[in-house]
Amino acid sequence: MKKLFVVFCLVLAGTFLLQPALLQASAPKAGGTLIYATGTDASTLDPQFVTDVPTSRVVMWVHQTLVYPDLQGKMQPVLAESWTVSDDKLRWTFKLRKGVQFQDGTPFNAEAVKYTFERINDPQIASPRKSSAVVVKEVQVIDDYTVTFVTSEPFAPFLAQLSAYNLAILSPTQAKKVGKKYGEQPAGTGPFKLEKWVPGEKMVFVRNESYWGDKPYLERIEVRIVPEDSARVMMLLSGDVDVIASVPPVMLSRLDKSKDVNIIKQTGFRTNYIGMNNKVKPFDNPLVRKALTHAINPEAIVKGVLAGVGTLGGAFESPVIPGAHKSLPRYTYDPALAKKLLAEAGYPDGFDTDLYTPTGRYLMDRQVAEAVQAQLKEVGVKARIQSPDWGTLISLLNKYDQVPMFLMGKGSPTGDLDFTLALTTQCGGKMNHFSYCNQEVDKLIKLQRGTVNVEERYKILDKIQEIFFEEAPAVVLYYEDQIFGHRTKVHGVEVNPNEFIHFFKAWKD
Amino acid sequence: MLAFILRRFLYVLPVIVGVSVAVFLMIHLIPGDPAQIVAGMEASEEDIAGVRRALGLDQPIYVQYAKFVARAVVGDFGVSFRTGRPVIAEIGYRYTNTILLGLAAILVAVVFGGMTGIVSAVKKFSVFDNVSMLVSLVGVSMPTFFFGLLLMLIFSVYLGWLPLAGKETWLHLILPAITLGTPSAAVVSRLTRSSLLEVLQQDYIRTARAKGLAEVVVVNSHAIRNAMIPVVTVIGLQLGYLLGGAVVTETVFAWPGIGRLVVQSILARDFPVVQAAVLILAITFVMLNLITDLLYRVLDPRISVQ
Repeated sequence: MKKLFVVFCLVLAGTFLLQPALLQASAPKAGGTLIYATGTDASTLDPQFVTDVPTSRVVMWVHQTLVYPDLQGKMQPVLAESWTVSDDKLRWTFKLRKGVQFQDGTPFNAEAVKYTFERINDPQIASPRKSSAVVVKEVQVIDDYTVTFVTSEPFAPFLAQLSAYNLAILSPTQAKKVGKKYGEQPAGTGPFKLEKWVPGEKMVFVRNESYWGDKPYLERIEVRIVPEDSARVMMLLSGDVDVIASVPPVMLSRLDKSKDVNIIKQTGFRTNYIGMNNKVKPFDNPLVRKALTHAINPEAIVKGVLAGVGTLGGAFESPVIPGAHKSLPRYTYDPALAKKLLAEAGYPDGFDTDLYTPTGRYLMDRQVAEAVQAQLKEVGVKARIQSPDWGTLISLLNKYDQVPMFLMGKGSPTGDLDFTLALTTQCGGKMNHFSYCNQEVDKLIKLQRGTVNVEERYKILDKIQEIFFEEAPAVVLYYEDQIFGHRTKVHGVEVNPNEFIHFFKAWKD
Repeated sequence: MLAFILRRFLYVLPVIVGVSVAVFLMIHLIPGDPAQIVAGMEASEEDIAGVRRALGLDQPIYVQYAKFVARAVVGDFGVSFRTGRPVIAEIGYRYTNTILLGLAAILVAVVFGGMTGIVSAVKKFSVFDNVSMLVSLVGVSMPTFFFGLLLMLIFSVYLGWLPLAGKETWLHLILPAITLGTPSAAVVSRLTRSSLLEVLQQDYIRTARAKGLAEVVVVNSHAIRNAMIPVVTVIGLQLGYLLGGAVVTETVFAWPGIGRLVVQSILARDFPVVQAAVLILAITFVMLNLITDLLYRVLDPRISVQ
């Protein structure tokens, strides 16, 4: 008993002695430069010209939107403090945050919000994302810190829409002063501002000393463009850089072994799938499509080709997107059933077709397509792989009746199902490359758009996803996992499911 | 001599015109709509139409070409479809980066290739000769991509002597230059060896030796100059390979050069950048050929410039 007591005292004393050491190791330290290596350069820092994820990331270090979702997908106030929606659901009134400045010193107010929305609609500016604001009929400045958006119809996803990077608020003074050069000389309200940009080589951001919120610990972020995956990994291992983006799965084990490096793995918003064109034989036959849902084995693909990096599921939308169906099971892998259904459909010996895939657009895209090709062969479907370059592939897909089968990815720029449903599932949607057209689904899509009550809306969304699942114009392969690597001495790196990574709360030991 | 140079400069003009028309046609005829690619997958038809108008792509092709030429003659190559920045700004420093890399690679090729070739020829069939010829065979056969990563692994990761990637300091130039220059060094080495061997058989060399000149003097002041003539030809051709082959090296070592920009721009259907970049590369190649021709005159006065 006495021995136990002594041991207990020693342990207690030990923890007291260790405490400061433990605290020191994990307490945020101000200052320092974080070096972040990524494969692609941003194309611009003008939010209204952002059309790809790598660009959107750095743009959102410099700019902010009125609202932004937290890691659970719930909309949080950012530049807007609070909001109300009118009874007829057509007028959204926002109370704006006071005491906020743009990085050029201009005060942030309702006029700046109005200007931002006018600018994106300006034909002289010719923003490729003009349509992100199409639902806004009018922006009314009520007073310096109150603004009302009048929408053309009741639009349930309005808050999600406002959180999209294309609608980040920019400084009217700066935009008017530098005109088209805003992409190189931005002025947002975000925690970091651009110091230097050598295109193709690097970007340097410095802490915004007049930021309205919690100032970042880091003084500087240096973004280095390193296109070669292995080079990035080597730079992380040698300590040349602190954080890297897009770690290829084959190199994960190498990074896992190192005690100087940690991996961040996050299920993302992106779904990679095999699409089957409903307008091209034999995929116009629902039985054929159903057969192929049992012929493809996503689990084997994720395990074998992607080294386990990828989340499996049945719904077309990734489960981390608010509104995604949480309980649609995966199609069962059953090649015997597939062959049986194909025979029923009139193809007892299978058939020949073409499987189109990009190469290098998504992680291991070509290899995944080859795995699918092998699986299809087992049930008698001989698919030839066609892999033109991205531009050519898009132009072929946009003909909507030429490409029979294809591998594609789909993200969610607004974090709300409405945007992508309109693009991929509605009849004639721009990204509806499987030519899917169901009038009932179209009615439901229209209905959910106007249903502002969240519970009711989610029920309608579930129904849409169930019908889509039944009719199987696409087989979901996996939801892309985002993988970032960072040195253990770097803390507080935050990766959002919508592919946004930031260092606002990061520090280096 | 001056007349020769002037005449050669005049030849450049039809080349420029020819190249610009060819590139313009090719890039407009390949499938893929730049407006769609610039606007992104999620853009609506209206957005894309707006982009198309803004980029001037809704005009007939001959109007587009005419506008391009009219601006190009005053040095305005337009703005990049992808970034909106002036094309000159996009290409300028990347071009000089690639030229820098190319020159460093040629230096590696000439110095290492030349030296090993000369020593191999003089010490024919020795151990050095056999080893260096084997090494040069490996050098010319190894894929650039693999070789670059291998050098990176050995010298940056394991030995830590050299930086990994990027373009911060002079040290950053070493590995890319070796990677890019090694296949050329191998070619130069083998050619120098065989060329020098042939020259050393010549009568006038026998005469020089008979006169009592030291071997070193024979080799240096008589043989090498004459042996270098075919080598200079090859180096001139290698320069073309280096300009084109730089893209792989640039990608592996994150060297911000024009090679990578051209590939990126073709894939993104960034017409203005592709046109201007290919044009400037074509002019560079023509100039390099001119310099090569002039070098002959320097090496061998017997070669008259017609």
